[in-house]
Amino acid sequence: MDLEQLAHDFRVPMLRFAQLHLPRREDAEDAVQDVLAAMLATDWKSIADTSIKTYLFGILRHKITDRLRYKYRRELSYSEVFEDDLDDTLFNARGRWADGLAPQHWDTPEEQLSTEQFFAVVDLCVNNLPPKPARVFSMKTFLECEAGEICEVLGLTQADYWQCMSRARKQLQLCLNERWFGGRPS
Amino acid sequence: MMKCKEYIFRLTSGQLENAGAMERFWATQHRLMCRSCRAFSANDERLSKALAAYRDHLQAPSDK
Repeated sequence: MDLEQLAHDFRVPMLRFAQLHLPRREDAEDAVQDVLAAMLATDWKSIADTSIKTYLFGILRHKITDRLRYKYRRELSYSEVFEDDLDDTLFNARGRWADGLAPQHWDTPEEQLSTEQFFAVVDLCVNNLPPKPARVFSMKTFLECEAGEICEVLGLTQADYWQCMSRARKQLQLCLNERWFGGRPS
Repeated sequence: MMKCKEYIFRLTSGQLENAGAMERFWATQHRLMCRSCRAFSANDERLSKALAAYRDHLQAPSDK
């Protein structure tokens, strides 16, 4: 196993991935350094070439959640997540879609959703999420943590978790609608 | 009867995935009756696929 080549291939993707979850760059860099150190101690004979990415990002996932648990857990108050209540904009007082904001079906061909341009828009929308929902959402979606683990790591209640996930998915759909699908509300 | 706001919250929060039969029943009834929530739900499914592809994209090795 050429460890230098491996580090070259994966250092930047791992750093980019870590920065999605850890706002301070030095924390993201430390997490990646930990993975590189673990690489040196790995018995590569037991790992198939096709599993290398899964193996490295599996270690990175643990390094990120460790930092979230110990450094970011109480940094933000989840009671202040929703200073702007998106639901007040999206829905009327009767709980139905507000006039002019009802969603319309996205009909872009599937193959357009795996292009560099589309990923750049997703990146923009993900990075525009409010910090707290963003952290919960990225742990669930990109670190693939279970809800219970996310609540435990970040010190959230189940209700906080649901609010954060809901806010993130609603906002992402709105953002992609506006910036990619060109959807105009009905 | 479930309203749009409630249906969308249960969908986007992930609660519907583990909901009981009764809640899923009412969610389905709402979706059948509401074209806007049907559109949102379909878009949400595409969003999940897009995010999975984005995750793979993030984890792809650098160009050699």
